[in-house]
Amino acid sequence: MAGLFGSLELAKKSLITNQYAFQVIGHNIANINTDNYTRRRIDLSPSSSVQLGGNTYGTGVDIAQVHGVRDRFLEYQIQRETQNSGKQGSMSGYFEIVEALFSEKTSTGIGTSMQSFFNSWSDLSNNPTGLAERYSVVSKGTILASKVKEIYTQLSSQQAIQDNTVYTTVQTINTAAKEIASINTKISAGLKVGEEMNDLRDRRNVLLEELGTQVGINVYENEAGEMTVEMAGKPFIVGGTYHPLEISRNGANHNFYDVSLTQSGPSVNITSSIKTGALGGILEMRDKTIPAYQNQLDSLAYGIITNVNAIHSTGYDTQGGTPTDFFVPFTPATAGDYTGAALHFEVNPDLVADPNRVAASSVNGEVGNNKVALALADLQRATSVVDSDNDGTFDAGTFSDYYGKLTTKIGAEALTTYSQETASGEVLVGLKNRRDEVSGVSLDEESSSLIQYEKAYQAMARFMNVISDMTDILVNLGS
Amino acid sequence: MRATESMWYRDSLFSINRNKLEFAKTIQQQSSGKRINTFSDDPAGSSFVVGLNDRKSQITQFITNVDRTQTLLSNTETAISQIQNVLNSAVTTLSQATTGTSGPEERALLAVDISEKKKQLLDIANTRVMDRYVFSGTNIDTVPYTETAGVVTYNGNDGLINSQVGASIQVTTNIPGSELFNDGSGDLFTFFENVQTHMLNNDSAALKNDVTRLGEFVKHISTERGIVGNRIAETTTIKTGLKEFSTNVTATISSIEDANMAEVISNLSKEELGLRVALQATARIQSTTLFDYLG
Repeated sequence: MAGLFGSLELAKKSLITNQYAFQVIGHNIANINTDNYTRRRIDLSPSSSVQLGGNTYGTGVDIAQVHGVRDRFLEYQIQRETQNSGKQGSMSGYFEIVEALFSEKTSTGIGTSMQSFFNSWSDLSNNPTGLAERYSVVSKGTILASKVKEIYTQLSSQQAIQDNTVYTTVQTINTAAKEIASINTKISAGLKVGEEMNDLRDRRNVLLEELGTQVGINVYENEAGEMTVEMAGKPFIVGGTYHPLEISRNGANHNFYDVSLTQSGPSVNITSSIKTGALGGILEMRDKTIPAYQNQLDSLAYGIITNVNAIHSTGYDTQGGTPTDFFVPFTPATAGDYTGAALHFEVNPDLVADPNRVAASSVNGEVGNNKVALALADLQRATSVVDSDNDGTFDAGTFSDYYGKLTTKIGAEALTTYSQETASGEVLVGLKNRRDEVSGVSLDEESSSLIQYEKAYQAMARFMNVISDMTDILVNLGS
Repeated sequence: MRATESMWYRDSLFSINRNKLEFAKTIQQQSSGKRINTFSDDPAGSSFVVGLNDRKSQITQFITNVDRTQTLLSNTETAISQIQNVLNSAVTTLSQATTGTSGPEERALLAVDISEKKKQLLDIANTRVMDRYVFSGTNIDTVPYTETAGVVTYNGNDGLINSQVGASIQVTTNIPGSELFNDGSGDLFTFFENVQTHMLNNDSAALKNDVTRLGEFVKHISTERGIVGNRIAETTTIKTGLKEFSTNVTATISSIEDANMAEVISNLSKEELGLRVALQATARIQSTTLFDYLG
């Protein structure tokens, strides 16, 4: 086809092509704020030419391809970093609460409670027959015991909240996985018929990022364009099928949720293999960080209970009563295992009911004898009063040293999490910027393309106008 | 290299966020006056602060203990000085009784005086300070000396009561009557009973011996007063040391925990500027696309 009508056809086709280009530009501009959107680029190619009388004529322009401009490597890196930032993000929130629990700012922390308790014994040593001083010893002992118990309990409720979050996170993960699997199916079907499936790819990237925020995964793309997702080294999403996560209560771990991955065979418990993502962070807090703090509170409580009792039970009150324990004694189930000591921490109810029974004297009947009160006040300076390595023997420094180390541990772990969260955020910004350098929509670029295609469209319209005029001339020849 | 709008917005948002967080942290430092507001602000520092606060609270308690000890000791010293007065006047009485001119009638009168002095001594020996008998050893709620039919008996013991005034310093806060009123060779009250008897019996030879014996008692009481005086001096030195120590510890805590206000305020204005710049940069992003110049 050549000649005027051929040119008309050429003009029409080119106008349509340019209109189509407007649509792509519009799509790009419209999605400028869409997460993970990769800009589309139009590849134009000259239409196939025709041979006519030994000459070759072009027939206009065609759209060869509209493709998403993406960098797979960057996408993987973002994927990976998201898992880190998801973990630190979930942990830092919990650390803020833990830090607030232990805070000594309100002057009712464990540190100050210990000081008040031992100083109340010193006051009693100044007035060994005093009843007011005895009331004070019992009350300071009760405050110390309940402070330790309260922090321990608050840590437990944090664990309970984290455990609930495990449940909801697993639901979120399964929902995302289900959608990824179905997108996998659509993409592989589309690719077979030659479509690029850019929009679905973008959506899948959003979902994969979301999944990575929640849990550590490994992702790779197969030839069919499907994303295979592995979790804890086991297949999680393969093509159009996904293996949902399941949760079950673990009786050996406070009845907290365990996470299992369903497989073709029996489900595999992957609780301890989930290290990253929000879920990894939650599990680390629930199963490692908080139990470690609780363990230290147990050791501290056991150290105080046992050492105070050892001295108090050798002493005499002013009433000639038999020697007794100051705190309710705690016996570890096995040597070095003080689980339950903090929760068990309380002043002997006999003494609470009758503070007269608090002992200050080392000799029965010597009411002015203050040796036991002195020894108990001196306990705050005694070393080797806490079993810090759970081997069944007291080995640490003073109570205050031990508690100081605990605050450093909490502070250091919190600080690491906060700074990793910031660092990870910074890395993600960098990576996403690099991705946007490649894939992001630039309004300048789009507006210049718009001008470009507008000019081409105007020129083609003018061309069509000329052809139309020429056709008019031809039609009106001789009239 | 392409630059896209989303990059600018992301960068701006990130720096606004970071500036805001820093700003909030600095404002917290300014309002609390403390550099360490949570353990994570300085993990090692917060452990120091826990240890130092413990130290400080112990020192405060030691100062309380010293004050208490000093009250007990200075009251004890006053009592001992009263004993010295009684003994000195007893010396006069005894010397009157042993001059050549002293006859049985005069000695009988002086015996009444000695009996009176014994009563005074008994009163002093039963001194109570802060609800406790200071001369009954550890039996602080037992009247240390009681008299039945002219015979005085000691109901206390020889127990000492110590007070913790330093991490490893204890000061004894009492002198048991058994030590104060007995010089090792005999009891002061028994001595006064004997003197009385000697006077009534007009026993010149025995009274002569009594003069020597009384001299020994005067010396003994003076030694005991010296001991108490030394303890008071010792506790005063300790207290001065504790106060200095407390000031130092407080200063150290402050140097670790407290914010440097000049620095905080300069940081505050620096960060405020940073925040403003970030906000302004974000506002400018709007007007930089080609679209703005197309008709």
